[in-house]
Amino acid sequence: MPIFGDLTLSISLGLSLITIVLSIIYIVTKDKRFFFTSERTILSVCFLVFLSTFSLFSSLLNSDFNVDYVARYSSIETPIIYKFTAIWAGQSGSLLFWLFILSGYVALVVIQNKNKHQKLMPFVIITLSSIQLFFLILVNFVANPFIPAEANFVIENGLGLNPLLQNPTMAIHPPILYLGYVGFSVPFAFAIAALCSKELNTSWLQTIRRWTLFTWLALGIGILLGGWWAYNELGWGGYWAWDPVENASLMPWLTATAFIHSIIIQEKKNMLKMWNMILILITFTLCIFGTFLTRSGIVSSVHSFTASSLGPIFLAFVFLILFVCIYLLITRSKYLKSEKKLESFASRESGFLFNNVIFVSICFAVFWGTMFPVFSEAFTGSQITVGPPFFNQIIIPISLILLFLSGIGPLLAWRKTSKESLVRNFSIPSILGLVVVLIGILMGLIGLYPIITTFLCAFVFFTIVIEFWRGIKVRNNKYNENIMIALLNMINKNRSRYGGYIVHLGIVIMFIGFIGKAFDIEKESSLRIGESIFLSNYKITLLNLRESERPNHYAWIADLEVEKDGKIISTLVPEKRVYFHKNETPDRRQPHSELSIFSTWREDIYSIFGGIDTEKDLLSIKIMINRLVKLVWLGGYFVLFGTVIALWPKKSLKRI
Amino acid sequence: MYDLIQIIQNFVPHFMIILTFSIVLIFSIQPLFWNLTNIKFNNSNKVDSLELRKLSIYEQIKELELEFDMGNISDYDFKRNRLELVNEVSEIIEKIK
Repeated sequence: MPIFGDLTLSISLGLSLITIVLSIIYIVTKDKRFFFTSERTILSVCFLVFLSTFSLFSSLLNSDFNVDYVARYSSIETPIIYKFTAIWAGQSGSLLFWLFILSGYVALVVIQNKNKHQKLMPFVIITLSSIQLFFLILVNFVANPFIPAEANFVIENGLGLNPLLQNPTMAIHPPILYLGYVGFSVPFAFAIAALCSKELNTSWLQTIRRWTLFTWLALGIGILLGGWWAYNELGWGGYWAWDPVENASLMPWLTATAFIHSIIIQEKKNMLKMWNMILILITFTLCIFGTFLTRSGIVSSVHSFTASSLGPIFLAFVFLILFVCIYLLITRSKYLKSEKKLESFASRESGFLFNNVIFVSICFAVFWGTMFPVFSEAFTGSQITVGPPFFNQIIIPISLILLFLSGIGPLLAWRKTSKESLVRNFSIPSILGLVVVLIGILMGLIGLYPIITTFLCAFVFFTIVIEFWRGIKVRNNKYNENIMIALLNMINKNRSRYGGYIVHLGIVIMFIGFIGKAFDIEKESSLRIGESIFLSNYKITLLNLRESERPNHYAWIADLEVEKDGKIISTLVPEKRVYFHKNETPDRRQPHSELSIFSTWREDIYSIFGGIDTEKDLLSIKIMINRLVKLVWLGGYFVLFGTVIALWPKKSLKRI
Repeated sequence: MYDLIQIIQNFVPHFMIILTFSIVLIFSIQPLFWNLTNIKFNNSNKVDSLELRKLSIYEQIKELELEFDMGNISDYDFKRNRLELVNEVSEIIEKIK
């Protein structure tokens, strides 16, 4: 199987090159046979990449330790689910997995657009093939997952999967994140095709709108799942640490968010063409740049792969993409001029433009903070790292402006909003927002940012609720529908608009969750059986310390009883595990803390098993009370639900 | 007999590999040998694009009417925007015809 996998990769590389050549011949000669052949060859590349990925999976499943990758990232004890996740656990496997997802997308694009977009498709195929070719070069020559293990003895067992990756979230987080990262190749390819063919009307945008929304959602959910994994697995009590790899995924998400807002203006008003083009080009570039950050070892991160020779190659690819994009943007700039001008500052168009500026500013701040250690080392010789305080100081105020914009957006009219409309539309949500803040202050809300955020969350929430209410009232008056039917019909007939509002509602809920971070508390202590920790109004007692031997690890387990106001509400069971404990080399036995969390809507009681002194039966434990964390995940569900509504195909468009 | 089975068993994987790559090759290069007259290329892209634009404007008109009914925009803005959209869609319908 490994030989077959290796062979398919080599043939894919050749076919990928042939695809590009055939498409170029078609563009030059207009001989349609070459175009149809290029469609077939690119589909063949996709098929061969699928076969190659299945070969690697088969090797992992069969514990074929003759393959270096299998020996490094799995073992006989590794459960089947984690043998599957081992495909993306290492550098070369994850590159193949990237290629696998890209090939899935490419096949879908080619099949979906068969006999469509005659002028765009040859360029789309060239662009997608070039991206495929780049990754095929990597997996063939730089990081081949099929290289045999270099050992002069029979390898009976592999090293096994990193314990941190042996978590159910890790079975879905990377594929979803990759669906997002890789998915932006499609809008990027259409953008390049539109620039090359000078077909810069809105049809390319309409083709990629759903693609972009889907990939944006996948990237967003991937980021959120990463946060969920960090919160539930890493044991530092947070879900976002402004880590370079986290930032690498956030940057394209930010520019993509600006893009999916900004294309509304181009579709409706034929404005912001240059903005949209830049946003989608930069989004894909940032995806590749993020991959460079993760794989080059240029910045240190708990999430990154080990440093490798891939860095310069990825950087060269980033510069190549930038060069092509800048060249095309300059030479096609006259086609990208807006057909209409902004009429008023108080208009929805201005709101969208400002939205773009804010998103790009946040992205730049994240980029600057992430790359600062590299820049500082290049200019001063010493690496200066900026941590969460820098990001929080810069990004929180800008994000609050963004939150405000998401509230005022629906209140602004196209072209120009009259003063009367502004006063009428703003007064009720503003007053209700202030009332909520007053109630919050009376309940103990303190601090400038929490107060401003609470006001803005309430303001945006009421804006959305009022929008829904007004829409329902219109349908109620016009069609005599009851509230439920009116609500469902209203959403059904305006899916993008109300789907978007539900997404905004999700963001508001997330922001409320973020406010909770300001009120987190924690305590570290050493306990013997029967002793307790007191934190906030909780009493946490150590009931028992147990040991257990499991298939791939050994565990010490603490039974902690949680009491609130004298009433037992839960039992927490944090663990300290040692993976590969049967390994004769102690260095290869990996210790890992498995958390135990009791979660409510108000707060989470988060317990971390620090260590154990077996001689004294003394448990070292850390307890954290994290406020409103559940709302962050709830907001994610709203974002998912809203996007699915916006994505759902319309009956009238199905015919096209 | 046993040797023959061994030979066949050894050959099967190689045969499968050769078969797979042969199918891929035939599938890929087949269009190069097509007769040009049999090749159909959809030329209605422009019409499709105009149809999409037309539907998009219909949606915008509906949305505008909803905004007006909700009281989000003034009477003057509503009439002006609606007229502009109606004119644009009329031009597109003319082009489609």
